[in-house]
Amino acid sequence: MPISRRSLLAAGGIATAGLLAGCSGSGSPGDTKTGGKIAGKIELFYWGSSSRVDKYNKIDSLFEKAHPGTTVEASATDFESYFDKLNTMAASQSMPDVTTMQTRQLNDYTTSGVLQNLQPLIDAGQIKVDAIPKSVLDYGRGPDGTLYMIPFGCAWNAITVNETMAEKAGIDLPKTGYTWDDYADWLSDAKDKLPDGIPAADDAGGNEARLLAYMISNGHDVFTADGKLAFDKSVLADYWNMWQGFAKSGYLLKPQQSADEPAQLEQFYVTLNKVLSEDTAGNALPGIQAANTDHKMTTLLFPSGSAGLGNSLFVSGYSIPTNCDNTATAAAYIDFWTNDDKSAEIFASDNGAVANSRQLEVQIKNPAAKGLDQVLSQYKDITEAEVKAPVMPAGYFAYFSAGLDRHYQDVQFGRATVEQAVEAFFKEANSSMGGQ
Amino acid sequence: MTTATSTRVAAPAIQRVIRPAKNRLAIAVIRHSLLIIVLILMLYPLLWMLAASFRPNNEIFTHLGIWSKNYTIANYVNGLHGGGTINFSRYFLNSVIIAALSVAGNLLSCTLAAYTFARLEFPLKRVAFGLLLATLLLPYHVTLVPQYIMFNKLHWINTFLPLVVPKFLATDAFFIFLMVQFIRSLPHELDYAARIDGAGHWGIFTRIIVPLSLPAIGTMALFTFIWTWNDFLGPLLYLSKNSLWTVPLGLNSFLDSTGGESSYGALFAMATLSLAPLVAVFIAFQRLLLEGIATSGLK
Repeated sequence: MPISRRSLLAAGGIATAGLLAGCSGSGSPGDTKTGGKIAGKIELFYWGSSSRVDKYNKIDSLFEKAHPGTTVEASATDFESYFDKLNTMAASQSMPDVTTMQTRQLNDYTTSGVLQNLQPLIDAGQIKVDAIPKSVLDYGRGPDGTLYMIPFGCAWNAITVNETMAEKAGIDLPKTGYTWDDYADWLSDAKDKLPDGIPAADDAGGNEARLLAYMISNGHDVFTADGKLAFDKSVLADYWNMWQGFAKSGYLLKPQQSADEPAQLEQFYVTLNKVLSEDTAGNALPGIQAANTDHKMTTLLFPSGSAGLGNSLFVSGYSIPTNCDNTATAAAYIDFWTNDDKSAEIFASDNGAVANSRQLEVQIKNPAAKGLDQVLSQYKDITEAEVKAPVMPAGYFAYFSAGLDRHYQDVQFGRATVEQAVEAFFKEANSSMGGQ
Repeated sequence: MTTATSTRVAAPAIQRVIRPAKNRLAIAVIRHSLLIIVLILMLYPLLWMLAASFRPNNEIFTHLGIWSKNYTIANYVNGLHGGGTINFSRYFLNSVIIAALSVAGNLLSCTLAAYTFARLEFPLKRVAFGLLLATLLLPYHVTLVPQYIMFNKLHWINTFLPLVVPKFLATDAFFIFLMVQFIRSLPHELDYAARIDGAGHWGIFTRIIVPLSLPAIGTMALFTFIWTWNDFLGPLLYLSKNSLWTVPLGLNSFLDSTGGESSYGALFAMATLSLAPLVAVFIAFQRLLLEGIATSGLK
């Protein structure tokens, strides 16, 4: 049985999701400790490779210079193991003072009551968020409306297209604002023109970001207030039938190929010229372009529907746990990250587009990498389109994101009909999401 | 007195089919060719990794063959520089320290525990042994959080202690079981003889059991080394400080699955280097390992 990278992530996610249930929190935010002296040591934990570690080290040095008497003790690991470790720390009430979060996992922690409400720190002037658009800042709120995370980087998913391959085959790229029907026509056109063995796209039926875009762009709510699925089963069935139709028409990569695809952008099939287009992180373009210098790459936002654009953001930010005993310094660190222009220049939107609007404009004008200006402009388009952001409930990653992929794979590999898979997905997601 | 008459059945004459020299040569050539092909197939991933460690980062996955015109040692230089301010050699040193202490701990504690279960009689021995074996059935995630909380309360986080101290407390039930089975196969008469000569339990253990158990002990040492050297989750949980990282954590730091660039060249270079101790230990203990596997039934 093929196991995709997302299934492996899911296994880890589900195995460790239960750990948070052991947290002593009540589900409401812990006391926020405002005021205090900016001094002493804080622990910082984030995800990223060694190139990001270099950037963090430089920024941490700048912070320590700006605040003499402070020390940042940073540690990092890759995204896939980050939350395994963080879950264990949360369960033992020993989370780092500044903890990196992402919207997909944020509410696993807010519902356990292990994070501080950051609004009092903003009200006290310890963290300034004036330069972060309100719509972006709101991604840091939990289901109760409390602000638990200060965003610093905004990612989204998009369709990366091998533009050189498209040009050679005489395939025009979809125009801005293209619809789901236009997308289907484009796939059909591409199939006719591409050489044998090169599919037009990957099968994104199990991709959470693409489903969110489909739902939002067509005006469907995704989650209810208590964290259950808000859309009808028939909508998901139609959606999966659409992808199965694409697959049967020969537009897509084979299921086995999709399941075997590695998680690193250097090995994405679109990077290796094995497919014309593929769903990737929107901010991965500079890396994909750097890994394939022979072909020009570009990214398209997902198709629009009756309600407009559907690309929602996956926002990364910083939280302060309730077990933090140096909140003043942790808040100062977050404030420094949010507002220091030199730090933003060093980081260069390395983990999603910079949330600070002023710094965003600077980076669009002076991109640190080839393609970054296009990426950041695309982010600006999303924020200007005011895409309705769903509040991702507790258990989102383990049961919605990974569960969607797993159940769609059952359809792909003929282990279940669309109706059976939809039923199983709804049953699992609704019984597991939404907190304790 | 009866004379038994035995009917001897003549064994069938063994007739060696002597093939012409030309045929023998052809068969040998085919056989060796097949073996060489299989060998190449088996070694290809290793050769590919070795070649990739000398190729520029942007060429590794775009040209999947082994040959390149752009071989470089830059990956080794960059890899040794590691992430941030830490040199990768530090990760090697940390791994060696943890692996060496783990091997020492397991050898000492598991062998003693195994002797106890195999040779001593004490109340509830069977129950205790059953409980020990039952720990093998516990998924790692069940004990993860309680262990973390305990070590956190002991202020052992960000030290090697959580990774090493349990090894001295006979916590690897698998190895105890392995050793118990091996020791049980040794004749008790040896113990009795030693006891007549005045040896106590310590004497029997050190002079009789340990020398005769060397194949199993070697197997345990080798597997402890390999598993500790490759362990990712333990160091991930307990070692946050970059300067304390082990080789697997260091290798992992070259990868980024969130849209950032990964340093595959450096990853393959350091992965190649990290294989060296494993290969060296395997070669050094190969004879003991094979004996251990053969005599303990371990597969």
